[in-house]
Amino acid sequence: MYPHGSSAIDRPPVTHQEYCGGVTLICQPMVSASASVDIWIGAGSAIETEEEQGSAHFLEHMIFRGTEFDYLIESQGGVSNAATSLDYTHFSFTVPAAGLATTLPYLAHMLSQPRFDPEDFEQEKLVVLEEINYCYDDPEWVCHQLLQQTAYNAHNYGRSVLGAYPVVAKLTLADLQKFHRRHYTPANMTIACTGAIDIALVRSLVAENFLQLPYHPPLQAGIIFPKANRCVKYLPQLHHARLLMGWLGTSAERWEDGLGLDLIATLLWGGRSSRLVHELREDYQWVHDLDGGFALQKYPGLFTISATLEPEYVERTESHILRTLSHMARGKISPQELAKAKRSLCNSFIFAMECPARLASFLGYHTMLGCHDLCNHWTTVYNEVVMSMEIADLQYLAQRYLSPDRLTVITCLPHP
Amino acid sequence: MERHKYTLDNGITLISIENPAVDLVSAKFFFRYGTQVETPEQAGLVHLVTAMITKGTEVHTAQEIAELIESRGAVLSAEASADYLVINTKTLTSDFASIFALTSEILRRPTFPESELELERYLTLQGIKAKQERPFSIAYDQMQTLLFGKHSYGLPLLGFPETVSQLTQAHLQTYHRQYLRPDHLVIALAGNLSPDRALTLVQEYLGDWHTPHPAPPSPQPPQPQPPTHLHIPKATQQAIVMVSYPAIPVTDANYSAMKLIATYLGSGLSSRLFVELREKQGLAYEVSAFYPTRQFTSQLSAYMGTAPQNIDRAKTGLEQECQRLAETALPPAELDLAKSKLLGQYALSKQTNSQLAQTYGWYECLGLSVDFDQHYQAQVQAVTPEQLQHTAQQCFQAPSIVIVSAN
Repeated sequence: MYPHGSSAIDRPPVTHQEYCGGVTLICQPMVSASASVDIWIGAGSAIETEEEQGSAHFLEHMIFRGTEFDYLIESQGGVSNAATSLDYTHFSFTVPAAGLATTLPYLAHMLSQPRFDPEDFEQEKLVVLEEINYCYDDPEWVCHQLLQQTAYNAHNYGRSVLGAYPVVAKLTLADLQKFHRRHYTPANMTIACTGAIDIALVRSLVAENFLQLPYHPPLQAGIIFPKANRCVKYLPQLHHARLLMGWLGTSAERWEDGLGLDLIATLLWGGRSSRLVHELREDYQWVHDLDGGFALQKYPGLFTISATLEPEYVERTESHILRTLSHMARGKISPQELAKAKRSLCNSFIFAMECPARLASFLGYHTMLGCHDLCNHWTTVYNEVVMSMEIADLQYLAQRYLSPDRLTVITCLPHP
Repeated sequence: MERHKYTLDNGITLISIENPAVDLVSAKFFFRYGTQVETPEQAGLVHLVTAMITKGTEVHTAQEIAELIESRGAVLSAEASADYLVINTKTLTSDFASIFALTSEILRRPTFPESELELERYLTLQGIKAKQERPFSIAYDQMQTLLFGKHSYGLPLLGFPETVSQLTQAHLQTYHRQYLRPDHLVIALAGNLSPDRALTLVQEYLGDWHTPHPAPPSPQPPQPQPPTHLHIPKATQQAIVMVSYPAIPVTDANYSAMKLIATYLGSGLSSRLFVELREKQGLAYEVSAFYPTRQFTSQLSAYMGTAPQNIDRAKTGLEQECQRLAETALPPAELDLAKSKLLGQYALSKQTNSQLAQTYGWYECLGLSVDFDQHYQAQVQAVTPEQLQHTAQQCFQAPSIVIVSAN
């Protein structure tokens, strides 16, 4: 029944996630010399109030201030990373297997008791403000931000994760402390461990180090439904136009639909023989580049197509994409192109999960979102769900999610 | 993991790394010289070859090749770099033989069809234009010209609009004939494939590949250029400040010391530039240094993006941090930290099959042999504070500086 793929991944089973004092833990031992840990905290920017915009991201910076964490990681030859997004703040590291027992408690301590030194705060504010300037020099970031802002309108998903410059400039240390107290709670944390790990040891490290955090129930951000929209903007730094089309997709509780949207994206622009790349880039030669994908999030994420092209081709490219999607909603998909897209998507997953750190990130993120079946049986479920999709399933998904009333279109042009 | 090396009669070198952890194979086909053979008049030639080589053979059209690859969920790509041209493939093990056969055909019998050439030329010209949207790219390209002049290392990978417009099918064919030849080829295979099977496949599809043409002369190293300071006006939020010094090639006895210098200055959040210029002075969000591994003269470049009013502090800061290493010996504890960092990251960069194929194939292609892997790690361990200071003194003389900022 299962055509291929599952045989390509041979791993001991994932340990079922568990709740130690509110923390969710998921472990996947692998043959490796290193251990990877990924901690996801449900404290992203979408949970911020109007006045505390930028706090989640600024706090991520402050967690590291005044610590020896970088030294600890780098002296073992490890690597670490941190990032803030709409739904979460994310901390990860990879170290030689023996380093796990010292590194995990150290990070736990940083997360539970940041130093919050007033001088450090002022110094780091300069860095955070430079980061905002840095992003405004990146045209892809600017265009994408405009799409989010337009598509989500009043919902917090419409705001920049970094926060607006003037709001961030006014943030105080007390704002960050308040944000930390409210959101950095065990019930709000998911930890994924992969690679050369001893599960009993990981459990005891988590129990000892993450239970002492004060417990507060997680807050829920209210859902405000976005409204469909359209926006044209001139950006002087551009040398080519950008066309971004974003449809309001599904949310994490329907993650199978999310995989279906990934499959549609692969079918449309995953590779040179895919439908839109073949037509728009190779055949008509209207676009230079096509990109995009679906972002699975807590609340409905965007299914995005973005094209780099000359201004005179913007209109016809948009019409062509809309026509293609309406064909799809009528079931006009060939069995060959579906089979090809399924295989590409399944193989990309197998290729990506070869690396312990990528797997930790996949498991941590999807466990945090509550996609437990997907994580507990990741070696088979992902590919089984993808391989089981039929033309009628894609037709249904296109009708349900990729309709004109869920669409936002952003056009960014180099000059009027 | 065990590595096996074979040399075929026609000069092909095969490196085979058997790794049964996951049921896939990554194969990389490295050809010597990369863009080194470009003249300023043909800048962009090797990039255009990589864009075109998968777009038609004597047997298959561009579209058929894409279909064959994508219907198996495989990956096929080609890229040019300063010292080599590489074709990458990744497949499930069960598909490997058929993708290997197709790749062999692409290497041996590409046709570079005119209609595809027009498309790729157009897209390359657009890509050149798009670089103007990124202040870092502008600074980087300009710096390469200052450091390496008319040598290929000084030329932008995509070429210039005027050179790309004039490249023809005949140029691509000549390049293929002269440089993509069995005695310039190193194949690195990593994954769930035995060395015997690897050798059989290479012999079957590439064993009878012979070229009647004599090998062209080896490219020459770049000539030293005078240090230059340059300001490029561009309306941006941040100014880019880049301070660069010519640096030793991978074959130099002090290469490991130079890698440690770059690690100490610019790698990770505990690096010197990050701590001094970002954490203590709040000058930048992004501040770093890079030292690419090169067959000929390389560069040590330190750079940051900063607010326009901080340009002078940024420039002084970057330059002083480099000079400091020439003036005083690094305390042993700091040197040890840099060693752990460099060796640890090196180990982590050899985890997946494609990373393994990349590392060993590249070394072999540079003429260092796969043993360089061990040799390099031992050399890093052995670097002393004196050696590091001596290497810094040689490197950190007068820098070239590029600033991209409004007015």
